[in-house]
Amino acid sequence: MAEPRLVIHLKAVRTAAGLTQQELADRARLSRKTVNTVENGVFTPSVIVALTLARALDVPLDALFTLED
Amino acid sequence: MSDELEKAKANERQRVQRLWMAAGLGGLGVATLPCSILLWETGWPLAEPLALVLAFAGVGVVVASFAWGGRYMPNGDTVRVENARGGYRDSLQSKRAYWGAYAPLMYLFPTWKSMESAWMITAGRAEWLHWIMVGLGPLCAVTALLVVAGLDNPGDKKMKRLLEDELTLSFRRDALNAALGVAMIGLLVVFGLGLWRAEAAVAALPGLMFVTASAAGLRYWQLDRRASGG
Repeated sequence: MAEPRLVIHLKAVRTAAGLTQQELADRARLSRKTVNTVENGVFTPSVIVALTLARALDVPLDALFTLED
Repeated sequence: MSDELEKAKANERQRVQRLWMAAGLGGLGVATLPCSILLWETGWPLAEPLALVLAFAGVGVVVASFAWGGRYMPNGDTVRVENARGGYRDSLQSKRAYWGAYAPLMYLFPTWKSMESAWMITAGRAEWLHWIMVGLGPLCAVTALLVVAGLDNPGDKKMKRLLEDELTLSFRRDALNAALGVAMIGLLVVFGLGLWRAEAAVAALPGLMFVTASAAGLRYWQLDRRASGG
């Protein structure tokens, strides 16, 4: 069985909300670099950071991250 | 999804309610102005200073209601975020990363003097100054590594909170791993040098410490730069 792949929808959700990376970072009290690296898949965030981002965007967690086989 | 919709509706109701409260407060402030004029005109004892106080209080209330109400305008959140001092945390983190990259340039000369002194000591030609200079290189390397490891100034909790998040911790882990790899390869080289001439190995050790610390600092800087890119 293949390893499931993490698919990140953060950028799509953020742009749909009309926010810049910096604005989202300010809302979530994170650094812009964190938002940028999560969006680009360079950095896989912890559950706490993922939930913080979801809360800042007012969306459920699976709107930002999904697993694909 | 209906929960989210309900939550959004409740937030909107609260925003409008607070905007009306701010407007009411502003109206109250405006209402004090004619009252203060009427009070001034009465000619009662102390009426004039009281009217002045009332007028100033009214102006204060109007200004405060504008400031408070501005937060609850339909675009209040966006305006607040755009006007906020953004990127302070990113800027602090980048400054530290730059420091990690440029510090080795400052440490180059002390490291060279340290290696030279170590050579003189092992050759039995050391003077008192060599014993002092030999410690400079390791001191610089340890300082640079402490910064990358986030162990400098541990008492400053505010700076630690700003500088350290999950991302910087992952950078740190990566940078220290790179430094460990460089140190291991360097140790092999120094070991080979020691087999040839023991004093050469001792003299090379400050250099190895410098290269190790530089590798950590440069890797941290590289990761930080990559993360800053859009």
